Amino acid sequence: MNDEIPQNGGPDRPARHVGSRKRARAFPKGRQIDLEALEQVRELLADRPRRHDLLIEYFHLIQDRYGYISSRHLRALCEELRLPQAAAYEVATFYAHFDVVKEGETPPPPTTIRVCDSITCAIKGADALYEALKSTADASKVRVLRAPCMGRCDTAPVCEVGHHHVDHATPKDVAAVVESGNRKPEIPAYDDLAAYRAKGGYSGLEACRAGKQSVDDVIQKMSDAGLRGLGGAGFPAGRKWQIVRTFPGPRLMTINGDEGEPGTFKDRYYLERNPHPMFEGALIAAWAVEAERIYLYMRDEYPAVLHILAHEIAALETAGIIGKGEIELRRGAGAYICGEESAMIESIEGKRGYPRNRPPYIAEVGLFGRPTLNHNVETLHWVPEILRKGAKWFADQGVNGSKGLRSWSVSGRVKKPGVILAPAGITARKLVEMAGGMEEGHEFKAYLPGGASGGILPARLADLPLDFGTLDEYGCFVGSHAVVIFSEKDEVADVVVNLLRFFKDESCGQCTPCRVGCDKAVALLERRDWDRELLHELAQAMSDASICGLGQAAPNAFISALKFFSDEPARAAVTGQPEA
Amino acid sequence: MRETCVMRGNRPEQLLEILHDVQNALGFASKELSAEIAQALNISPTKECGVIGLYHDYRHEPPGWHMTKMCRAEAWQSVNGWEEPDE
Repeated sequence: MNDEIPQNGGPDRPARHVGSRKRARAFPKGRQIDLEALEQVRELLADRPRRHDLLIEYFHLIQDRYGYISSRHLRALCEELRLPQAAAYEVATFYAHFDVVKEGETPPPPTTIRVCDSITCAIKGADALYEALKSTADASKVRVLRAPCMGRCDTAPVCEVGHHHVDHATPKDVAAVVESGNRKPEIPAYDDLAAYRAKGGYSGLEACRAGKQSVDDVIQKMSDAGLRGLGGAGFPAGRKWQIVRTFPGPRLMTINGDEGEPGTFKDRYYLERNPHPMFEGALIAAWAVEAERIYLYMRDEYPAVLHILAHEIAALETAGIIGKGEIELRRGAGAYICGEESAMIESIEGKRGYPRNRPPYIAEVGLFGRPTLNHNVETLHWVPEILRKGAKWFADQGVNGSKGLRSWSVSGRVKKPGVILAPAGITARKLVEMAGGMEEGHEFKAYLPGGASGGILPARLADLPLDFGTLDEYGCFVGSHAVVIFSEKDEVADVVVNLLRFFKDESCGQCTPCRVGCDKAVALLERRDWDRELLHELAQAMSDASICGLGQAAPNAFISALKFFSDEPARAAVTGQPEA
Repeated sequence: MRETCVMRGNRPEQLLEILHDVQNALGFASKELSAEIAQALNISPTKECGVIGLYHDYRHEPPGWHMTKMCRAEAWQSVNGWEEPDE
């Protein structure tokens, strides 16, 4: 075989190592291209552009077709994209939804069951469900994995078989779905473009585009309404638009649909029922800041939403409301950190979701280095309605000195968990009432006011108004307005360990205070006795020195637990408990 | 400090030069001054701290009036150089 390959001085290749005794290699270094894999990748990519920012999209194509990403496909994709293998490998292995299989390794079985083990599912028996599925599954055909929050806390516990979700899951239900072979998401009935237009939809956008509303007027309305970023940070929307406009174009816009905060499911609620207010709001915002393109980043845990969005973007293009490619849908791949705006931008650029150091802020240097306006789905959802009904209407909705409406994701030990549309500034006690009261046999003991990051408060503080800034003095915040209710049957120690395990798993690993801090925190909290002094010291280091909100906010849970439940940490922690 | 930042266009890639200018003038770049430089260049203070920490010649604290630098590389070690400071 060596005879066929030109050696030093061969006819087709110039001599190498001239003057050296070394002979040239018979084969080039490194992993070689598999021509069959290259053909397969070319067929998958078809005429799609060979751009690096689309790397994650192309990984999805391979993962969806073959069930995993083999080294040969990874090598072939790198060849097509002219990308170093190391760069592609680091991206593929960063995201939980990609399975990279190297030479000699066994591919995963054809069916994957993901069991949500985040806080609401955990208190509803996710642990027992996981163990039951694990013990009965045929490992050659099915693998069972623990997974972070799937945004279906109202129907906890939840499993995902392929892309098919099983709500209120029991081992029997899951086995039936596995048996049926159904791996596709159920698409709910929703208001499509025609239905939305029939109700007067897109009239606000048309008025803006026709010059009936000036940009300054629209921004003023958003400011007067008190509309704030509802992804968790609560930055005033009108001010954000003004800031982005001060930086020279061309500008871009991103929509953050990576709703990964445990306990939060409001964005999914709206997008599975009525996605067009979000689209209209986004187009109005893009018009206001003169953004030339909108990138919509949607988490992979919401396959039905991804289907709906792709369908409705095509409908908007067909209707001529947007130009071809004006809204680009990007699919996440199972990384909580990509809900952080700069990490999301990195992900849209086809990289690992590593948060950026700031400044510069993304309003100045954002996606592809351009000034970027980023908004959460729900924030945009309210924009058309505020234009239609007026700023005063929205501002007047708040109570206890707050402005506006909020979509509260209420879950846990309540009778009717779900999204509750209620005023900003409402109290947790009122939310429990609106959710039908506590479950039978459960007494209100504690609650998370803002998902996993927002800390934990006792029931005696359930009459505090919940809004941005109102819980600062308690070391807590409302964040994405995910309220999880606990009863006397839930151990606060278990809850806190569950939350910190989540952060430990989801820390991107970029900065040491977060990567090591979350790990140490879990180790300390799993002990029978909590070392208060050490935990406080650790929390200080994490909140002072972490790059992004994940590491900064992760200690909130145990710091507030130490503050309000000092008599609690009494038993060894176990993730979740079977339902009583 | 502000003058040197402005002179160098407040450009982040000029950070090393600015730190050199500041050190040449003052002998060190205090933490307060470093924070102001980061603000002027619109970069994260963490990033700047990383740069100052990486290079031996940058420092947050004032050095002594006189500074002696002693090479401690292989050639120095081969002639038992470590014995000299005690003499």
